[in-house]
Amino acid sequence: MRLRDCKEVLEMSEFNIIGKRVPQKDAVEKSTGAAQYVTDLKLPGMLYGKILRSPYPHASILCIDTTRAKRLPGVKSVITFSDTPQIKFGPLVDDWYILAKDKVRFIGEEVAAVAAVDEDTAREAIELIRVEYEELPAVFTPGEAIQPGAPIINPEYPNNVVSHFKVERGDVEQAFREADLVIGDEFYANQVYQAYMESMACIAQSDGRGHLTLWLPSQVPSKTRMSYAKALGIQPRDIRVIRPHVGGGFGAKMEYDADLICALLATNTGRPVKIVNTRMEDFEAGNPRVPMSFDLRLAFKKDGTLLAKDLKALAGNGGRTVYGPAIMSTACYRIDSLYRIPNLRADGRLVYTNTVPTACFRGFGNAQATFALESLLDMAAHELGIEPAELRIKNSFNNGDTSPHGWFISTSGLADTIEQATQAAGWNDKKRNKTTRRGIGLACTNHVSGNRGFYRPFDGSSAILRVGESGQAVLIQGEAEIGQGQNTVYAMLAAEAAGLRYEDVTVAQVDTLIGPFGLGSFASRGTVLGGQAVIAAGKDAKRKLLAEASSMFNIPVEKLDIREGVVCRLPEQTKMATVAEVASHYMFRQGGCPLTGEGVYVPDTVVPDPVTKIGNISPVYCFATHIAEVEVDTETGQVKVLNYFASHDVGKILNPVGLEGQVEGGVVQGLGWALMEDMVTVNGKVQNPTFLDYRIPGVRDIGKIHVSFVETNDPKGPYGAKGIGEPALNPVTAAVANAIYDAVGVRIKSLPITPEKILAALEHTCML
Amino acid sequence: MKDIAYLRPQILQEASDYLLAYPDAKLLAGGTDLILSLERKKVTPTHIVDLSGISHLNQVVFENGILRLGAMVTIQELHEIPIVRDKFPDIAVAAGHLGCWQVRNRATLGGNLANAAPSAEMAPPLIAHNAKVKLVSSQGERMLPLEEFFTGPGRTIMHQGEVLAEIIVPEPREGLEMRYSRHALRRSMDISVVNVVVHLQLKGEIVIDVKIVLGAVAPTPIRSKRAEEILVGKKLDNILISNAAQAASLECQPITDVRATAGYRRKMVQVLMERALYSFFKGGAALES
Amino acid sequence: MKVNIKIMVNGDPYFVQVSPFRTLLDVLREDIGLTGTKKGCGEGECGACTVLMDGKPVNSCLFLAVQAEGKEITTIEGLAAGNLHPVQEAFVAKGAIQCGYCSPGFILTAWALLKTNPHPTEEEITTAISGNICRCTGYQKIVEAILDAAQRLQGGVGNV
Ligand SMILES: Cc1cc2nc3c(=O)[nH]c(=O)nc-3n(C[C@H](O)[C@H](O)[C@H](O)COP(=O)(O)OP(=O)(O)OC[C@H]3O[C@@H](n4cnc5c(N)ncnc54)[C@H](O)[C@@H]3O)c2cc1C
Ligand code: FES
Ligand code: FES
Repeated sequence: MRLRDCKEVLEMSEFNIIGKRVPQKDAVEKSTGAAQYVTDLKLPGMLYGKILRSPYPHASILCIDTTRAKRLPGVKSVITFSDTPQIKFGPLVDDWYILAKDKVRFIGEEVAAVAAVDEDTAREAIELIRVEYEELPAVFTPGEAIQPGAPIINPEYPNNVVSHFKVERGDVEQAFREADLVIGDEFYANQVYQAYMESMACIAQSDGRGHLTLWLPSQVPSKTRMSYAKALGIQPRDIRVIRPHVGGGFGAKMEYDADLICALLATNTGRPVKIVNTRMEDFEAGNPRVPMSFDLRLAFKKDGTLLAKDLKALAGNGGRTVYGPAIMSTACYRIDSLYRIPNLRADGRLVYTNTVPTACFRGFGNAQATFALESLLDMAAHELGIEPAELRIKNSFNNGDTSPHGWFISTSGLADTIEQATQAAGWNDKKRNKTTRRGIGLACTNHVSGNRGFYRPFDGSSAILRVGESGQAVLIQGEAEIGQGQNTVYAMLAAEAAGLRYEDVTVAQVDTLIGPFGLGSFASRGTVLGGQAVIAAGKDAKRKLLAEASSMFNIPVEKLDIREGVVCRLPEQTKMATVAEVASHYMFRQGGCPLTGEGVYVPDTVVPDPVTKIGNISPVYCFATHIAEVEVDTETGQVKVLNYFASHDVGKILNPVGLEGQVEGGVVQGLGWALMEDMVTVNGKVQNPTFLDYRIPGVRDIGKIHVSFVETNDPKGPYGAKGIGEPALNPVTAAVANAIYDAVGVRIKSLPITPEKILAALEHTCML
Repeated sequence: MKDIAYLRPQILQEASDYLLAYPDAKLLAGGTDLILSLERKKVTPTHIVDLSGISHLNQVVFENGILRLGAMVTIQELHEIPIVRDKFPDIAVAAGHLGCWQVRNRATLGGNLANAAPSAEMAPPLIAHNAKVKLVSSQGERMLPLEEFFTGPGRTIMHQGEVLAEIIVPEPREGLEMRYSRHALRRSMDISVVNVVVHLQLKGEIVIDVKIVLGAVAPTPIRSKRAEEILVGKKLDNILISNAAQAASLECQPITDVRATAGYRRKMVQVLMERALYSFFKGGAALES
Repeated sequence: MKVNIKIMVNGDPYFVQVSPFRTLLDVLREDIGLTGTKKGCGEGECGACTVLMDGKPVNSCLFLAVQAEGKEITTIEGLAAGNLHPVQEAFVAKGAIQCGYCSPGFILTAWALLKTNPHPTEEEITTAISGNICRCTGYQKIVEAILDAAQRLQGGVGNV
């Protein structure tokens, strides 16, 4: 791009780059294969690690014999529990050991590990390790696990309940007594797998003096150091995390035990060690979604006013705890910021089972709850004889409302997204002129952009923008791009705020040795929290550039501005210098120190009170409405998605390409969950640990997706923006379930909505 | 595993010799089944005998009304070759449904049959066409109907030392119509839950010839002789179609696995049969849309 | 029992000693160091490892390196030297790349399609890429990119 004249630039819109269609910053290197992921890296002298995993869902370990494995030529280290620091740890509950101590709690639990000169040797060595187990009675579903006398998985939790979340507002009993309509049902959101294309991977290197470097495809590079340090009995400062390109995460790539095994093997051998999950390992011992069953009741007035919600939830934690407790509580009450419901009660239990530990997946509990609530609302709309879209608009939260849990909704575009989506879909028309076996269904969602309290010590973000002598800028921050396009938006925000050209801004890969402590990618927080910090850093850099220019040209700062890399004088907008000239002037005057802008953003959010649960966890709240249009084959039960409409309140459109990409991707993941994805587990063993049998949608399994946006310009968002990652997936399952009901009159309440379930339901209705 | 030996014979006899000399040797064609089994240690051969060096195995010849397909012809070739598309459309269509483009470019016809999965895509249409297989060993060769080739899941009638060399398919009679249909849970890249092939010839409204082969609903691909009996010599109408479809769904012996329950498979046999039969049906009721 | 083989990758000869069991994918990534070809599953089910063999897309994870003797292999690194290939340009411009792990496989499959079918319909495109899984983009922008690439290859500007 040529350097545009100041005047031309200033006469354009308020923004130079914000709002433009910008391809991903690193798309070029990804398109040529040059982009390096952890799986691609190879360090000199690198060894390959492999993990011996438990074949039993619940068993005592009697003894482990590693002698033959150790003797195999090429094997450099074989470790078991006794070679580990033997410290209990975990991101939320201290129920992890790096390697199993005396018992295993799920198929796939880490029992021993080896490092060898190549993968084949490591694999062979693993097969030479003999472990004697004594099987213990096991329990696989939360329902069974809470029965008296059920096998106990963690003796510290004798009833198997890991966490029990309760919250109550208003007078629920009275509301139900006085309601015109009480409706209730049971729903089940099954266990699904994130299926990121790059499986879990790690490279670890020790410098022999107790300092570790980990190359991780991590969503939370800074934060993992905290629990990893505890597990290894060292200080966080002794762990450096470098995050190269990441092949998708969707919630799964947070703390992962194999990283620590890798670290121990590297420490033991003094050589770099790489561990990459096979796809099957990843299926069997990844971090899939927390499965949840709900018993949900709603109370309404005749006119559709929501009076009360009563939710009971039971969720599966698997054999050890990752983020289940937080996901459970989210399912219990995050959704209460969607509609005005004065009387609320939730009671959720998270339960140990002898299955793979469950964790975060786009939507974080809210996606599960949304399926239940938005399905039941549809059922209520039918009972009440109120149009489903109307019913939702009637109860929606508006700008400036505060939820019963204290969440302050500065802006809500919910009603607008309903309007926009129904318009786009031709909702009224299609509702009126029904075609047989075709149906249309609507569902809404809300979500956060950040989650105060997820990491106790702080929430917020910070960024450093360094402007070099040629006007090139490097943005250093600790948040984690995992493929979603966050770095692109950061570069846009930095350029906009500092007055730089977009192409002059590079975003550095996260390296905890250099960058600030970033909490990372979860809770759809990147754009809002990280973005505000980036803007602040950009503004700081601009302030310094202006001050420098002011002294260079002897013009007061107020009379100067910077746009697209050019410093000009106001009001006549004459070009004075390029940013490069000003930045180099600064640098050479400062003994070579580059001009650096620092940005800090601390949101005015409130950690929920541990007892009352009153708080305000996110600076802004996002809303969306989805509409699915389906056709059901009543003989095969197969559902075809014809069209899909998604309207999102994004606050402000920063980069339409990125937003559309997030929504389209989220919708397709949601369609997979709605219609086909399911980790089929029998006696704790995943039966379909391959992409052939764990079906994620292919290009031919989806309909046309129509995406649109509502701008609410939230005063607390970066240039008004809100988050997008998770809300893109949340409402899909319910929209599809509602559309199927509209099409053929059967209501499927358990995910996924398979052809077999539809056929069975159709037969059932025929018989009635 | 590291000590596996690789052999690449130039002629069939040599391949057979290797198989006889090394009882734990495995033939390698496109590898799309075999490499997976090696990876998962379902098989642990001492030797891999690669058939790709035997040049004539990938020939396709159509002469005197006979189509000869070398065992190493790829599935994508079967999908694309004009003569197959033209005269054996159900074979071409079936080939187009197998896996995906990348897999079809490697997967061979011989491998698909020899692997003997109950869901093997290519078996039902070829059985319906009365295809024969030529098995060659250093002791000689034999020909037998493909219908007799499969003996169970992953099992065939081949002896140690035999190589499936060729598949011989007679040109269908004038007037015979062919339908291939499959039901899978994804629209592509999925193993069939049910395969149905119907070959049928009508004279006026009367069925004068019919052959029905079902895949993925029994230990091997099977003929539905009951359904054939019901149909042949009768007027094709709603009731006949429904009876034949029901007979087929009763005759198969599906299992429940991670892809579908036995009950669902049975139902799908009925649905696909009805749909296939209605598609031949010219008079009376309209085609089920 | 290792075997010495010579394989042609992107027009260059490579002499490698491999165990017969070693896949082409591992040889490309580990021995030759061409890591643009990705491993998503190692079982033929995701297409991340797609390379072109004599111009045809195949899964390099289901392909023994010994089978590659005498064949021309093209990986993503060999698609264009220096500048971007029009298919790559289209993928970048249309936002068809998010995490990028699937992108080399999609781009090569798309290129193989466009070489033999310069004006594919949407149906033909989705048939061609149905063996490639993308978990990020929802495919829509990938299909758009391939349509756009077809235009670019026709010498059209491609609507960016
Ligand atoms: C992702 C994916 C999807 C798939 N989808 C389908 C599908 O939809 N439908 C379907 O039917 N299959 C499917 N398959 C299975 C597979 O691709 C086919 O069965 C294929 O045709 C096998 O052929 P091949 O040449 O690759 O066989 P190989 O893997 O080379 O061999 C298979 C077996 O047959 C033996 N063999 C091979 N050739 C001969 C011969 N000439 N004589 C004697 N024995 C021989 C081998 O020793 C081996 O045991 C899929 C596979 C994958 C990886
Ligand atoms: S890695 Fe080869 S298809 Fe997935
Ligand atoms: S861009 Fe991430 S898998 Fe396709």
